[in-house]
Amino acid sequence: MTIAEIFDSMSYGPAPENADMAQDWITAHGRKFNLFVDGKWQKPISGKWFDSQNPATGEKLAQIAMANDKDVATAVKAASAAQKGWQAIGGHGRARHLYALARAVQRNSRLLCRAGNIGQRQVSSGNPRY
Amino acid sequence: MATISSLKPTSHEHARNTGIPLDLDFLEDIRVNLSAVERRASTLGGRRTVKKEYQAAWLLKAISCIDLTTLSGDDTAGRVKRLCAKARQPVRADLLEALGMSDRNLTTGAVCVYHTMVETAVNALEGSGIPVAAVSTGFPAGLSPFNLRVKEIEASVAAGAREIDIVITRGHVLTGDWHALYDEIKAFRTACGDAHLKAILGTGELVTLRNVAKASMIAMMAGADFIKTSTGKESVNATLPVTLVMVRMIRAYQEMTGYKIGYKPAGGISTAKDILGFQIMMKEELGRDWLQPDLFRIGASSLLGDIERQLEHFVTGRYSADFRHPLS
Repeated sequence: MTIAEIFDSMSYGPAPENADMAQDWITAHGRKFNLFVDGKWQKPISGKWFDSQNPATGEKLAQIAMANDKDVATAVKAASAAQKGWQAIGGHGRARHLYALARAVQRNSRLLCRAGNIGQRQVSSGNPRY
Repeated sequence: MATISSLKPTSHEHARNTGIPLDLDFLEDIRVNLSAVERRASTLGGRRTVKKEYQAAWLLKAISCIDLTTLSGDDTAGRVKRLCAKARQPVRADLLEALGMSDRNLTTGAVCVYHTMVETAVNALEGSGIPVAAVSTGFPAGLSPFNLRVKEIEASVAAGAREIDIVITRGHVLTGDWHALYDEIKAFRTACGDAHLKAILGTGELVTLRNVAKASMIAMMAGADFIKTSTGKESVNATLPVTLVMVRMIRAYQEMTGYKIGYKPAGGISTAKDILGFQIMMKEELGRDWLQPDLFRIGASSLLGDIERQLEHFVTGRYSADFRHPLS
């Protein structure tokens, strides 16, 4: 529509979701995600990955590690080991870590929203409140 | 450049509100759900958006709804004449050309001034079709002697104002004196005659949204053509929650009587982004008709400058400095 035509009709027009930033982030990770265990990205003991797809287009987005029971056991063991130190820093110390985590999520909320949505069946307005 | 406005904002195509008798029962039943109002007002911007050429078109429409205003103690005839020139040609010609809107006779909706400046404005706008709105009835406090307030309207109409923005006595709302408020506005409406009446409620001073809703309804029952949020001189002027309450009352009055009443937010709207929010609310709550200058006006002065900068950005990809657009 020309601007004059929109001026007369006052229709809303499209406001499409832009997934570029999510795609760029996935590419930057080599389109392959391992398991984050014991403070490091680690290959899964299972040796298996599964495909994550964009359901709207069928496009393969990335490979994601498929954990088996040995991977879960390793993760639980790492968590148990970390629990002592986590308890030792006290309520205030834990609160500082949680706050920093929350701020990191807030700072990256648009990316998280869009990266989350392109693998799902929902259409998003990109509004990080939802 | 003598642009002749094609807007005809003061002559509504719909029937003019003749008012109805005061309905106290309806007023008593009015309730406002504050948290629902706040939620709707804050989420609307996330639900609807206009981008790119749609945004340009919506901003041009907003320009056609602006009552370009100067209400300062240091106003002079020179300033008013400059304002009127800007009203005739609100957007630089080359930008209008690039937007494909050169042949649309785009002007602002009106020029709004104090009584003393009405004659100057009327002369400066001669032949343009742009109406002059006069603020009246002891603007902004509205506490001058009643008979003089009525005479003020008559004098402005005689001087050529086609629209009168009156202020209500906020005290009547705060003391719940609905009869006094109704009678006052009715008297002002009678004094207006053919000139259109906008009732300024001073929403920032009414304390509760329930009061805003009641005052809105009374103004319409008394014959107002437009209800307007503020004088622009209060500490809180036009906001989206207040707008939502007022337009719901407009909708209720339309359901009751069939009359369409206009809405005017005034004060505190200085960015293009702000005004899009108001336009979206009008379209969502009342419909397409309330985007036109015969039912929607914007009391603003610096807003026009920001819209021009946004339009220039759309056309050229760059933001310009203020001085690249003719002074208003």
